[in-house]
Amino acid sequence: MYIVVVGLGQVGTAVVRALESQGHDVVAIDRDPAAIAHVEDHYDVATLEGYGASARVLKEAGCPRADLIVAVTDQDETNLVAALTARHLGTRRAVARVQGADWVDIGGQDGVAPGLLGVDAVFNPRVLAARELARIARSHGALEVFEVAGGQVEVAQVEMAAGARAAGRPLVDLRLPRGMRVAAVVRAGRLMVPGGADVLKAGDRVFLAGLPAVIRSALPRFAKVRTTSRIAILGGGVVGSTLARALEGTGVAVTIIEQDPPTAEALALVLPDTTIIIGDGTDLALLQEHDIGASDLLFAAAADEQVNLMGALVARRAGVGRTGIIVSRPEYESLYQQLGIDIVVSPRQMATDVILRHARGEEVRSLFALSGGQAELVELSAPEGARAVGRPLMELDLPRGVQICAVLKRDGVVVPGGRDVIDPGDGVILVTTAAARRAATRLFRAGRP
Amino acid sequence: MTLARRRRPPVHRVIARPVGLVLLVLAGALLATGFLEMGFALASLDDVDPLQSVAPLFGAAPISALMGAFAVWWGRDLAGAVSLDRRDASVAVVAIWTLLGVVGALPLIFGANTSIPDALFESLSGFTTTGATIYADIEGTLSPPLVLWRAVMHWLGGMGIVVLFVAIFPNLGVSGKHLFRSEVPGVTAEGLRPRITDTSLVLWKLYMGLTVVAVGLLWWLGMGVHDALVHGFGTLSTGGFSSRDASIAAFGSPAIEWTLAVLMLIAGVNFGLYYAVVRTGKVRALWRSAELRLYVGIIVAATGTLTWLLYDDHGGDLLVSLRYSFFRVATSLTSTGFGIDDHRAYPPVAMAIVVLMMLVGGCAGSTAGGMKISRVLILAKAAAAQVRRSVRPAVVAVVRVDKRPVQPSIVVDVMSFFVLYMACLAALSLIVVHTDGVPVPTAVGAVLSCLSNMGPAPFYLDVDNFSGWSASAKLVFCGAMVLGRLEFFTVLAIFLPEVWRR
Repeated sequence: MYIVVVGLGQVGTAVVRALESQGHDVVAIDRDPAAIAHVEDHYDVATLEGYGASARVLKEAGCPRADLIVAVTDQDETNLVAALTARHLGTRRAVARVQGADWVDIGGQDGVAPGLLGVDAVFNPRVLAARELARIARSHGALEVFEVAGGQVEVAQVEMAAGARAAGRPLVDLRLPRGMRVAAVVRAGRLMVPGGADVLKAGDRVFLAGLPAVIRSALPRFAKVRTTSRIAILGGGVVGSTLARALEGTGVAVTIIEQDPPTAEALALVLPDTTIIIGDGTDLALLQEHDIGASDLLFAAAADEQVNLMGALVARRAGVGRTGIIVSRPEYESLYQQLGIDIVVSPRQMATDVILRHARGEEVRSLFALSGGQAELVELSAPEGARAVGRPLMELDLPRGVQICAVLKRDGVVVPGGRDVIDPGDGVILVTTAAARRAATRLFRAGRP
Repeated sequence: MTLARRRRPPVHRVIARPVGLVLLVLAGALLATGFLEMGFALASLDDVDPLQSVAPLFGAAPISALMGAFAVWWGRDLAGAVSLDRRDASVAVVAIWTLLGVVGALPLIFGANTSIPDALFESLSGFTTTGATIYADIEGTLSPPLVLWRAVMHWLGGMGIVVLFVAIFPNLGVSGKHLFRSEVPGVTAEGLRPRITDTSLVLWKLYMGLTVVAVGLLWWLGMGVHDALVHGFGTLSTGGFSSRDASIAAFGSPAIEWTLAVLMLIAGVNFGLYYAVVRTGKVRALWRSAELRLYVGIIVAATGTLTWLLYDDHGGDLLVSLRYSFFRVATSLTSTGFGIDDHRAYPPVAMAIVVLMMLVGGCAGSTAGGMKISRVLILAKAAAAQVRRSVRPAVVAVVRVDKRPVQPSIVVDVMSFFVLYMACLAALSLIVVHTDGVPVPTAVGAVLSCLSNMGPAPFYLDVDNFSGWSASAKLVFCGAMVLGRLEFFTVLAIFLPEVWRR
């Protein structure tokens, strides 16, 4: 694909890296010569210095024959104008990111507004992150929850508890309920897709995939079940306020700690059931004074990664049950975990996921990176004539590192066994390691009818 | 991505794989030339043993292959794990060009009893498309396989063997980009396609296509197939090795001379412009380039002046004078070095024009040598802007080429290039004057000829080639040719300690 990326901030650069490594032709545009020089030096892509919303610059970047434009500058309006202009010039699809507080209710079931203003997808990664945090808060002890196929299928990351019933035995002997499976295991920072003979150990991070109800009922066999009745949120920005709003009315007591008095007062007006505290969330005395230590969960969702890390560490000292932070560098996830942070959520990763799905073509409906990009969770529709279609799965000889988690049939979701067959048009949800990605794509490539 | 806790391996291990792969490509080129030549020998029905005549090529191929395989093995575990940065790439490219010189020399040492400095000179003169030779008697000394090998060296070096490597090995990623830039540091040679592999492929396809056309034309005009190949390769690469002692004059065909002159000039144009024409289908794209307009302007002006200056020498025949002048302009401006007359007999003004054209060279992004027209353009405009600034400091003077402002960093880059060019010319000439005790103009002429990858020098010792120089002077010329081909920065960078220290 020929892809134009406008804006080389953290998301832009991450997108350029991912697209380049997947073999796309990329032209990167930015106004900042330093950002251009960095990308020039590190990636095999073409660059252009200039204002990304200008028709002249976009034309020079090849937008009339481009397949996709990705607009991710730090100015929302620039992104929208760039996407619209490129569409007008003839670019086939356009994806634009927005992140300001005024772009919170852009609609779309999963925080991605399709077709807003004629742009194929407008999304706000901070809203995506807030929704992810809300899902984690509502789950009973998961560290990460992905909703796939409009919530029909869930993939939850949990940490194997010491003495968990599912630990210490080969997976085949676990007799897991139909309707779920162990999709991937992360041990010592490395992700693998397990086979029947593999054994789970305490401390592993396990991705469970399947029907939400089944996963919830099986959760106690893997992880310590935690009920969440009190949540503290550090930072009342877009992420914090969206999260608080999502939790209002669910019976959870939410406290937001916000440093800026006007922001805090504005929050108090729109969040009637939430306690708003003005103060520095990294101040242990403040946390103790307001009894934050009794919270089951603290999410540090300020704009600054360092503040979040510090806040989470202080909160642990204050006695908070579990901590989660919003980070901008997902590649350091294992580093944060070593420091004792339970949950790491990266809006940047979510933005990259949304963009990469659009670079993957029509048949990929959604896509999530697992464990900092070591594997991906893909939802795609099985095309007519593909090798994986029309025969029992056990005859398929799946490559190592690929696992089919669920099949969306017309009459419902099936977590397939060896005898099940994928029909043309079915949705397929699978996990594949980065190494097996090509092999997996080949299985589901449309054949000649 | 996992966070690996690892230090960067030393430079020689990082570059081992690309260097080794290029050596394998070179071994392939040796074999291909050998097989082609075997075909010629079999078809000619002469009494020569086909295997014996190509033995020097088949003898050199395994040496290159073994060295390459060893290098690939040496860097085996770093494949894909570590990508080359600019520093590694410059070391890699200089290493590649040094090894090209060595491997290219082997067939000449094996097959023509050439001494090592002579063979090294001839080989680098081939790969850098200089076309200067140390053979006084080409037809008597060199067998057809060796003549073809010299042309193949031209051809591989013309568009660049590293560019070829980047084109045929995909997935090099950013390493490929840095390698490409270290070999082709030109101002506008890249950016044809977003990916460097595609850019390299486009360039090589255009180059190959033009070569096929050239060889076909020469054959149609009456050259033998072997000669057509040798001169086709030598023309598109703007090299200049001929199969004949008398160069193009040996064919005595005005049609061939006109055709070769046009082909040389075609090779001296930025290949990116051809790509623009092929992609958009509009020939107008050519004329929009200020560099090309200046190129054509120089050709017209120089041809006109030379025709007038040489009018009497050619007995007052305008057409003959025009043909000789046009050929001289083409061969000098594109730094090819084919000859149909002896420029040493020119009147001094004509000689000065020839030397100036050698200095200027062809367009950036072409296979020609010299400073490149676009650099001259930027230098002239920057100097003019500076003159204007000296009297009216308040005026904002912007250097523009093709209606676009030229970044100050590029102006500085071009000026540094000019300084390095002149400094190298002076320093190397001084060394040669010292080693061989020749007059200064002779030394400067020979070094300029090597730096601009021209070939024939304006003032020779007593013979029409480089055989009269001492071995140490030849090694200096080797350095000059590589410096000029890689345009100074890449070569000089490897003498910086921070390239090696991590």
